[in-house]
Amino acid sequence: MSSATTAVRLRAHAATIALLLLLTGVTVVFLVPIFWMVSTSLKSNQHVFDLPIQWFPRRPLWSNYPTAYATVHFTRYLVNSAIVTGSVTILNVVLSALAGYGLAKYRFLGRHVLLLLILATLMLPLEVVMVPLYLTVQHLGWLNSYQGMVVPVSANALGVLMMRQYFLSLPDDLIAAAHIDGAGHLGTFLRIGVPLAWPALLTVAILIFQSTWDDFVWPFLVISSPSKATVPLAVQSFQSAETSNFPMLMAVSSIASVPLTVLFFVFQRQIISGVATTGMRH
Amino acid sequence: MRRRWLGPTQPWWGAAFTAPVLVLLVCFKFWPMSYAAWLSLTNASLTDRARRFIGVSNYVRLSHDTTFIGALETTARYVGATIAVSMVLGLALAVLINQKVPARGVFRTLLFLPAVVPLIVVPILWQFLFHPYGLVNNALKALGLHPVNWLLSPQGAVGALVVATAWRLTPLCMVIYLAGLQSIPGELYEAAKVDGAGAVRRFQSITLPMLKPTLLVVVVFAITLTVQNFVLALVMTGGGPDNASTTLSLFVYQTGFLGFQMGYASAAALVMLLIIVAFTVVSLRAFRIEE
Repeated sequence: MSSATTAVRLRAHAATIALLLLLTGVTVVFLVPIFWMVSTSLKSNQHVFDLPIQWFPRRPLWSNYPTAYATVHFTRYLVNSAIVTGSVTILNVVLSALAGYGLAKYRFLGRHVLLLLILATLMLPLEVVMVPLYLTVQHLGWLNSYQGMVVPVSANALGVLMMRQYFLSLPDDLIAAAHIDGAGHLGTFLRIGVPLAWPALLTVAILIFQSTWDDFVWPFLVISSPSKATVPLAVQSFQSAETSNFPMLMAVSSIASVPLTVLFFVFQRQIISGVATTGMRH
Repeated sequence: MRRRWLGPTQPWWGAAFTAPVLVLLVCFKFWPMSYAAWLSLTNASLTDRARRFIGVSNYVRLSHDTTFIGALETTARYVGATIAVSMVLGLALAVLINQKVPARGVFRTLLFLPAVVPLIVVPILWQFLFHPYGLVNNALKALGLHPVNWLLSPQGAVGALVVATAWRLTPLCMVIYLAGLQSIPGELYEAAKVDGAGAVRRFQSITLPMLKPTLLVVVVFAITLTVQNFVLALVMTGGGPDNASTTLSLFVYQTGFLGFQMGYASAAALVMLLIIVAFTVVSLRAFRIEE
């Protein structure tokens, strides 16, 4: 009896250990590129391809980081990225909340069609409309400007859908009660809707922030002068200028990875559940 | 059965709340879309203001353009391989993490990290890893295999793009799968266990059927993301060697913004839209039939 239970327990232990080893192996394989990026960023250019591979450089060149930061003028691009991403995020959150509330809490002619139209834009990624969108922005005189980077991406179907979903789960009685108490439409939205919806607002804000900060294509098309460029553009132009300076390239890449990594570790729950529930990013 | 409506019914307010988003989507999604349809029927150029209506000439030209046909083939191979790898690997990882393992949260966090690396860094990093003397070839040599000239051979360039894209896409698929797996009631597995079903059997008869809606979400998500993205190809291979890794979206970018042929690029962009819509509609249909 007791030996049988011990055998069962042993087998369970063995299975768990095998599973752990397998998971550890896969995780290591997935993380090797990132580790390699950081490890190379601390080497000198002559020793990049040394064999056997030095995973931990014997004399780490920490000075690569200040050099990379200064060479790329990171501060300027960080400020630009912050301006663009901040504006896009705020606009998206406000507009998504309004539209989500309108679609969830009001009955009006054509709201089903409206919802379908908004859904349909999910099939219209930037890359499909980049040519006419570029011409439109050129026509508006917004090339090489902040508004050119911000306004065209300031409304996003995903944000609207997430907010609508959230407001649908909000009991109508609450809103009816506020109306009976004499609150106006905007007042009810601001005093009842927004405070109750802050978890959804936060998730939308984080997802939009992340995808906007990470976006390369649209700023790349719109911006031609370095003074307006965002971090991804700076990284790309450094890469095309310094193709073979691997330690510097990796240091620049590591620095550029810091903001989104910090964001991920702070808002891990929202980011993962956001990706999981919407099944979409960007 | 209609649900009881307690909320406000004033039509103007509902429309007013939605109006700002609608205006922006019309200006920057629907208008460009129709504009693209019109442009594709003209000889519009980025440098020349004068445009002429030329009918379907651009589409006829596309059907003869070997670069475009090549881009379609490359896209099919690139997207097909990337999706296959990330969907299978993502599912395998999700199933592993969904077991009762210690520190599964830590594994989930660590495995998600490739999706956190900035998109622009991904091709720069992998270009370096696929360097002739880089880490990938070192690993191949250590395994007793021949090194590959990744970025300078037609096969290798597409292969390298697939690996880099799948590396970034797999964690996203994994997370979507995990949400799907966690919505499967545990009692189903308990009952199957009592009936003596093994792990493989349980996966086949419970996990896969219950996961069908999730699988479809992942397919649409992964295809759309892979078809549209050209940053990796642009930075890693530039579409080379000899256009071997030029995908459809890269073709649109190169024709429009480097070749200045906005009309011709718009025609190619519409073909790309057609592909995305076709895949989405087919998947949605499959969804409906299931329900």
